[in-house]
Amino acid sequence: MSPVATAHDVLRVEGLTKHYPGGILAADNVGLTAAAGELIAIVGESGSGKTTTLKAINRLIEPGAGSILFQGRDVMSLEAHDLRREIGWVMQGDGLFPHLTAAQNIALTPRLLKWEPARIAARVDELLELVRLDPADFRDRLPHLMSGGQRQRIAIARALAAEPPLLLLDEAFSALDPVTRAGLQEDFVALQERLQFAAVMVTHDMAEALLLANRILVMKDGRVVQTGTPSDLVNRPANAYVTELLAAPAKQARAVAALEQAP
Amino acid sequence: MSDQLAEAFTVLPDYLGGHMRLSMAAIACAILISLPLGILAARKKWLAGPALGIAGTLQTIPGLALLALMVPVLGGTIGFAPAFVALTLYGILPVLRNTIVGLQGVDPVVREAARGVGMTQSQSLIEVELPLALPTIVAGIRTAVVWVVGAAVLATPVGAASLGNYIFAGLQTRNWTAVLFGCVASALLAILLDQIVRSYEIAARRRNRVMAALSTLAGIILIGGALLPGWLDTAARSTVAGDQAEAIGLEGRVVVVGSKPFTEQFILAALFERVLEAEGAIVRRRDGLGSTVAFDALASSGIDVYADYSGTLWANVLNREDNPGRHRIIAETSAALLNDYGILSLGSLGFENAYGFAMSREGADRLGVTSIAGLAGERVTIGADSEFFVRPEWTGTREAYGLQDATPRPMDSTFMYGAVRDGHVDVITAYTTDGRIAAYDLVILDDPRGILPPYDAMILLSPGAAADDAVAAALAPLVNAITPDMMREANRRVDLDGQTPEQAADWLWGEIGG
Repeated sequence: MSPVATAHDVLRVEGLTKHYPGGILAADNVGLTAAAGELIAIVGESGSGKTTTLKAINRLIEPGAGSILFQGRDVMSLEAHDLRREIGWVMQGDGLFPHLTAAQNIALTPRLLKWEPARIAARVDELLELVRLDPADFRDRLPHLMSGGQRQRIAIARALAAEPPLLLLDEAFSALDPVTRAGLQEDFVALQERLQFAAVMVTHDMAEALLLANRILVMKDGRVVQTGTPSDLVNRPANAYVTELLAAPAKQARAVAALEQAP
Repeated sequence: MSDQLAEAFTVLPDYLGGHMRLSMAAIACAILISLPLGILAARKKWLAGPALGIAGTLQTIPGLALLALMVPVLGGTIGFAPAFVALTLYGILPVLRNTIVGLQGVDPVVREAARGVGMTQSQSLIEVELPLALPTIVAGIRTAVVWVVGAAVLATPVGAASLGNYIFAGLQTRNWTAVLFGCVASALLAILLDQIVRSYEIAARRRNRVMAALSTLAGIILIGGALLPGWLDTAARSTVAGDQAEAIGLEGRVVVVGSKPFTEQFILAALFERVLEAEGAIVRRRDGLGSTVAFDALASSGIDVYADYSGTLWANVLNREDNPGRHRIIAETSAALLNDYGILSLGSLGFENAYGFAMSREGADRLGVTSIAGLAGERVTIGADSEFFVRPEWTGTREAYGLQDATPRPMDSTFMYGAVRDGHVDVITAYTTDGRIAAYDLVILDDPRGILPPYDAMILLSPGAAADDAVAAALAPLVNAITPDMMREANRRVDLDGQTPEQAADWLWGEIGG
C-alpha cells in the first residue's frame, strides 16, 4: 500500500536515500507521510534504517537524496536548528539535561524561540499537568530525583513545549518497565488525540507499533518492505520477514488468551 | 632566631606580593589559553593529540630549567617576564587536559538532546556541555593553581621576587627559619587559593549566590591583601621619586642590586644596598640569580650592580683558559666588559674568593697530599656546586692534574663543607673566603700549575648605571676596602653564627669605617 498524499500532510518524505561513508546504504528510496493527529510507527531490526529515516526528518542526520517536506517546506531550505525548534524530539533514555530542573528542561525550546518568560512559565505548568505530574512537586526537581517514567514524561513535555505540529520519537518508551510503559503509552495516545499533532515513532517492538500506530512502516536493509495499518499487516503480511516480526506479539497474545480460557 | 623571624616578616609584603602577582597572572593567562584551546580540541580530534602532547612535554621539563630557559629565550630579560611565561606554560596542561576530558566526557545522548531541542553549536556548548564539564574543568584549574603557586618559588633564580627568596637565600645562608617560612607561606597560599576555587565551584554548581559572593570576597581579600602593600609601597616611592626628580646624585633614584645564590653575594648585596641608600637611592634587590642570569641581566640593565669574580668572567664571558696573573686578568676583563657590553668595572673589592680544592685535615694526611697534583689517579669523590663541573676550570684541572678517575658529586654549595668534614666526599671545591674552611679545619690544596684563575671580587655596573657617575661615586668607598679576613669573618657570621646577611653587612660597613 503506497502512502496517499493529501494537502493536510504535516510530513511528506519521498525517495529518501542515505549512504554512509564506506558505501553502507542506510536508507534506500524511503517514502512516508504523516497527517495531523496521525501516529506512524517505523519498525525493523537494528540496522534496518529506521533511525536514519527518523533523524533525517529533523536533520540530526543530514538526508542524502530525496525530498522531505515539513508543512510543505523543504527541510533543507531551513537552518537545521530552526527546523528542530519546530519539531518535537523524544529520545531513548529521556535525554534530559542533568543540570537543569524539570521546568528548565521543558522551557528550553520556548526559550530558544524567545517566548515571554510569563508565557513560558504558564506553558511549563500546563505541560506538567498534561503529562500528569504535579507542577508544584516537579517544577524544581532535577532529573536524578525522578523515576524513569517521570523523566520520560518530562521528556515528552519538553518535546511538546513549543506546540510543534510534528513529534519524532526514537525508541521513546523502550527503556521503561512494562507497567510504566503501558501507562505512558496510553497517556500518550490520549495526549495526541487531544492536541492533534502528527507523530513518527521508531520502535523495535512490533506489539507497541500494533497498539499505538495508525500506520506502520516495516523496514529491512534500508528499504520499506511494507506500509499499512496494523490490521493490514496482521492479515496480509507482505513477506516472511513481516510474518516473523509479527510472530512474537501473536505468540504472546495466544499464550495469554489460552490462559484466560482455562478454568 | 626571633631576629630571623622578624627579618622574614619585614620582607613578606614584597615577596608575597611578587609571588601572588606572578602566580595570578600566570594562572589567568594559562586559563585564557587552555580553555578555548581545550574547547577547540574537544571538537577537532586531530588537534587534541598535538595540543596535549606539547603541553605534556612542557610539563616534563623540570620547573627550574623551564624558568631558567625563558631568560635566554626572552633575550636575557630577567624578573617578571621569564617567570610569568614559564609558569603560564606550566599551568596550561592541567586546564587543557581537563577541559578536553570534561567536554569529551559529556554523554553523547545529552549532546544529541541539545541538538534535538534546537540548540545551535555554541548554545549547546555554553548551556549544556560546559556546565556539565565544569567540575572536571575546575579540578584542572585547582591543579594548575597548586602547581603554579608551588612552582613560583622557582622564580627567584630568574630575578622575580617570590616566596622562593626565603628558600633560596635561607638554604645558602643556613637560615632554616627562612627556608621553613618560605615553604609554609607558599603552601598556605596554595591551599587557600585552592579552597577558594573549590568553594566557587560548589557555589556555581548549587547556584548559591551567597556562597559565590563569599568566595569572591575571600578571593579579593586574599589577592588584594597580598598585592596591596606592594602597590602602596610603589605608589609612595614613585611620589618620592617624582618630588625629587630634579635632585642631584642618587636622591630618589631606583638602583637594582643583584646577587648570585650564596652567602657572600647576599652580604655584598646588603652592603651595596646600605651604601646606596645612605646616598638616598631607592634600592630594589634581585637576590639569588643564577650565575649567567646575573651577568645577562647586568648587560641588559635588568639589574644595575652586582659583584662578580674575575676568574669567573675570564673563563665564562671572555672564554679564556690561560692564566696571565691576577692583575692582568682584572685589567683585561674590565677592558673587555666595557668594550663588549658597556659594563663598568669599578675594580676589586679587595679580596679574592677563589675555588680551592679542600680536604679535611685527616683525609689529606691519610692520602699524604698537599697539592692537587697528589690526587692524580686517585679514586676520590669531589663535591662542588653544580656550576663547577661544567666550567672550564674543572676540565682544565682534570686534564692538568690527571683527575680522570675522580667522581664528580654536584651538590648545593652550602652542604659541601659539612660533607667533606664528615667524609661523605673526599674533596670539595671550597670558596676560599668561606668561614667554614677554618671552622672545620679544612686544608686547601696547592695549585702548583696555576690552573685555577684568580677570583677577585669586582664591583660591576650595568651600562645604564654607568651612564653617569652617581652610582659609581656612591660605591667607590668599597673599592679595595674589604680584606680576605674581613670577608671570611662576615661569611662566618652568617654561615656559622646564624646572623642575617644584613647584620653581617652592617658589621662589614663598621669595619670599613663607614
